[in-house]
Amino acid sequence: MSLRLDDYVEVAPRGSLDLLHRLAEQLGGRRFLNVNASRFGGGSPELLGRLVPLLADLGIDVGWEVVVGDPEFYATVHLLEQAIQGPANALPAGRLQAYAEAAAANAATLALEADLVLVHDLAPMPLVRRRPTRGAWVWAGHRDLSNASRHVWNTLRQDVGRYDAAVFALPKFAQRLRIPMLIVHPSIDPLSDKNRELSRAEVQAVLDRLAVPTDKPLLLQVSPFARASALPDVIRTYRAAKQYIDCRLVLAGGGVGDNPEGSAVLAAVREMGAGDPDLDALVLPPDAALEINALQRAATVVLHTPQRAGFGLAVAEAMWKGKPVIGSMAGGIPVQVIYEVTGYTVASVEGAAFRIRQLLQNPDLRARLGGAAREYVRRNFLITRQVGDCLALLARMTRRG
Amino acid sequence: MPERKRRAPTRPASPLSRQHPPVRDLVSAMAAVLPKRLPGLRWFGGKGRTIAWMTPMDAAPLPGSDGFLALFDVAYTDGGHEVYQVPAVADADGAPADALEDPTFRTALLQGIRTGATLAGQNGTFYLRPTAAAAALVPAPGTPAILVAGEQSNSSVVFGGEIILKLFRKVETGINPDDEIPRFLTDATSFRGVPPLIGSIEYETAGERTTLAIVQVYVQSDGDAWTLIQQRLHDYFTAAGGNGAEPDPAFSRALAAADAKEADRLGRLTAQLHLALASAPAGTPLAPEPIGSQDVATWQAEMAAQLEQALAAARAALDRLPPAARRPLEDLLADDAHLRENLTGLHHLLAAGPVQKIRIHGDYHLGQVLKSGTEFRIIDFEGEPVRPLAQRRGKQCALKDVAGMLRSYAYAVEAALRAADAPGTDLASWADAWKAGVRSAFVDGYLAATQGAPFLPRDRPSLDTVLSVFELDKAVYELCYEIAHRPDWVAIPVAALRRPFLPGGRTVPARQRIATEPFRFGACLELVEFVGVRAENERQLMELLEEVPLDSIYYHTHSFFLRHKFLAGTYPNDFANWAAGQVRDRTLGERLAMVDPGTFPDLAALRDELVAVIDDHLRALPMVPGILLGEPFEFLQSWLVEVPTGQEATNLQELRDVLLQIDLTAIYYHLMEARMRLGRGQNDFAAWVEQALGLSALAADLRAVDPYAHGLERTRARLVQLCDVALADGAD
Repeated sequence: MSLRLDDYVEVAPRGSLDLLHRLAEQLGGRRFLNVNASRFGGGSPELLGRLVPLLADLGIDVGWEVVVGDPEFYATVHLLEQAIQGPANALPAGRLQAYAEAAAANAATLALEADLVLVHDLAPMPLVRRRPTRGAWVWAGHRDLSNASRHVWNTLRQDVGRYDAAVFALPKFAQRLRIPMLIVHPSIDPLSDKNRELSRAEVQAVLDRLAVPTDKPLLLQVSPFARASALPDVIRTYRAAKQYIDCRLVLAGGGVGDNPEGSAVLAAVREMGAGDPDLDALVLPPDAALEINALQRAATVVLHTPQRAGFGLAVAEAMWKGKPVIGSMAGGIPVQVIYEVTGYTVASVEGAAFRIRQLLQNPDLRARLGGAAREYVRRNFLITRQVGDCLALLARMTRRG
Repeated sequence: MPERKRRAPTRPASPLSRQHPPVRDLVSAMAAVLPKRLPGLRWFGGKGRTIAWMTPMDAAPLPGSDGFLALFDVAYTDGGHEVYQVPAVADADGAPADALEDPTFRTALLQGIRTGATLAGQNGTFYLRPTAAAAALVPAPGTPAILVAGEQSNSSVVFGGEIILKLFRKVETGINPDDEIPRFLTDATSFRGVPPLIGSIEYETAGERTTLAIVQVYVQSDGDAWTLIQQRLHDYFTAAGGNGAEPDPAFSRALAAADAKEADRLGRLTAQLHLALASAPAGTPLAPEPIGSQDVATWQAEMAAQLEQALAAARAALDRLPPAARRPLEDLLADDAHLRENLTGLHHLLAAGPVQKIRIHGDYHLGQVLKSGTEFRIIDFEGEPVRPLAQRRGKQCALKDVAGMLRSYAYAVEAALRAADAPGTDLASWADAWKAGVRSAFVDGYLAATQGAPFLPRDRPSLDTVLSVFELDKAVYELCYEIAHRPDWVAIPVAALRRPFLPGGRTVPARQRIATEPFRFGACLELVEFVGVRAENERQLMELLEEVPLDSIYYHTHSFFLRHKFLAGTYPNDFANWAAGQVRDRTLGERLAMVDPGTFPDLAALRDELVAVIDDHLRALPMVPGILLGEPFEFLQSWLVEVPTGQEATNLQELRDVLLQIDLTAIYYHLMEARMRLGRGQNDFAAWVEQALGLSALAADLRAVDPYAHGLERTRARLVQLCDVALADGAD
């Protein structure tokens, strides 16, 4: 089953799909090529898996190429990805050189002729060294580069500078660059298992399976079991609120597996929650889309208060389900949570607890913020908007005259 | 020289003496060759008719030359007659030639006028007369006399660049208004907007006088207003993005403002002309008279006749018109009853107290106005040459001249628009803006200077109605002309004729109006770009405000709406929200929130105000507030991709229906982008409702819609609501 843009007619803002069709007509005949490192998994593969068919459905001549490398190449890319997110050990210059050459070597086997080539993430980034003379090249960074290790960024920035423009999810994710820095927020797919409408019975079935009772108002945070998620603070928040109004907290996420940090965080959470029947820590597998969907729909109030975060699309997911969200100021959360309109951003455990008390005791307020939240996501964070961004990018980078 | 080429082959050399050709022989010879030559001459009015014969009417030798002043009667096979003036001289071969081509004859003509020569013909007398003003101005003998490219009905000679002699070719018994009006204005009024009259040539027979030529001061001008405005409009459209140029909207607007100012001055001069003409004392031929019901009936009948003639010509020509002209013409013809009704409003001249008819210019357009520096001179008082002299000398409603000039402005901008090469740009709305500005400036200038004049209707609605009827009548005349001569231009008068207007103070209800051109909805997609700078305190914000591109100022004060579309309640710009939300400085937040972008002429002014507000705020504080825990201000700008939605509205109901469901970005685009970044000066909805539907009151309401206070979704609701009110108006 391939995705069609018109499938979104019921959920996208009225008139917006017509606009995409019109713009796509204008852009007819221009080739738009995407390059990343994999067809499967989260991140850019998941995004392209949806964007590419939708753009093709619009009649855009869109392509998707994948760079390949040996295990050493992928291992280096993994280290680089860690290094651009924070302090890391220096990588040997030879290893960086090998990575860049391996990536660039893909140019020989890939058809890179296009009016716009959009290169995603770090793995294929050095391909730009072999860019053909024709066509615009844009790099989509996707990640937060603001904390990148200096030495790693210094070696990468030269290649990044060879692009005609770079795309970031937020201005604060950007590094200083001489090329135009375009801002494209990520989006959610309202028709995916994680976000599609569920019946009451479907929700109940999932809750039964996860053994989550519905006897009390439900607080939910969906985030990985990681230190950055600040889960102990979430528990303290819940306990502070619970003194005033009885409720249940579910912490759901992945990131445990063979990850020592995740296991440690999970253990700490379990220890804090020992003896509290209203606190559940649910470890979910990576493909637990339906489970997250059902939990978000069952929740009364959704929390998302990590210390550090990427864009934090879990917020938009909950908002799409009409839930008021209490969020921290990390990453892209303040872009999604408009204070007192779609939810609350808070700066402390106490602040979060106060807003929970308010929201749990005031169904009208929940309904107002939740309704605004869903509309805000409809306008700003659905994949149809990102399809529009791609078309706008294509229009801008290939403008004629 | 073109005149030489025009010289048709003559019949075998006549037996005339080269030195002293008897009058009769040369003039007879001329009469014999003219039927062949006339159809090729610009000033000949009988093109398309067949000449049956030609007879010399009268002639007289001109002292100081070998030529003759001569008049010929042209008889057509359709039974009609016309009289033409063709002074004659024998050329080197003895063949008859137009004496105006002979320099000696030209100089002798002026000399004759200077000395007041009286020349006896066989049937009448030719009087060459100077006016009182002549003595000081007539140049010395020997001044070069140059024959200039002629007009439709006359030929002109310029003497020493100071004096112009205009020799009428087709003459009618009676005083030519081109003699009569400038003479009156020069001798009896203080009006100086016409070149002074120096002399004239008249022919008198059987007690009746006929003007054969006039002599006036030659105005050293920069050119006629039509030509100059064409040059100005070329620059205007170029600055608007035409002719492949980079748009410079501010310059465009400056040019339009200058043109409007000039139109205001021309309106005032026109008013002074009419006031001077109306000053003729009672009992004199030019004195004003009250307009009676008989006048109105006659004028309406003439208009109706011309309209029927135009409609018939239009129907006959429909198939051979280019498609772009055919379609609107078909619509016009389908609604001809409406058009007939629109042309019947002159009874308003009788409604509220007597209105005078006066002598007017009669063929008033931009080509009749010379400009030198900032001075205007009005020329050519002949009236429309195709009309009989008696009609041209008749008294008229002064608004007819006003209507003529308004149509001329409309033509000027349409002509320039056609010349501006601009695929993909929206020059038409620039054209509309120019036209609207110039039009109201001319009318306002005219009315300001005629305040309370007895030749205008007292109340403005009547005045507007009558003016509109004359404009329509002029457009009917244009339609006839364009069908016959320039089918590609038919759309211009058709657009004027489709203006939804009913005279008589009754207006077509909004719901019945058909737009003169459809409203085309465009929407937009926005691509956001990080400018690369961040502010962490209010001083940095101020300093960066001064540095960042204006597009960034625009983004944070306008594109805001594209992101917070349905949200109201937060402050209406990003600077205010940052100050209040991140710096926690509510005072600055509130002060910045009150900076209303809608009140600034351009973004530079808006930037200045934002900087001034922060500066003023910081002066009063002992420290500079900054973010302690909040987020820095990140300067962004955006790039808008305009997307035509393919949706169109041809009436108000359709506009309302599309507004209801169209993407909000379209509302943003037509409301703010049009006004602030595309430099159109107002929102597109208001402009269209006013110009294409003629609904000024609704346009004013639409202009007053304030998206800054409500957000786009509520603004949409407000626009729809205003349309609904207008649609219900007059719906019984």
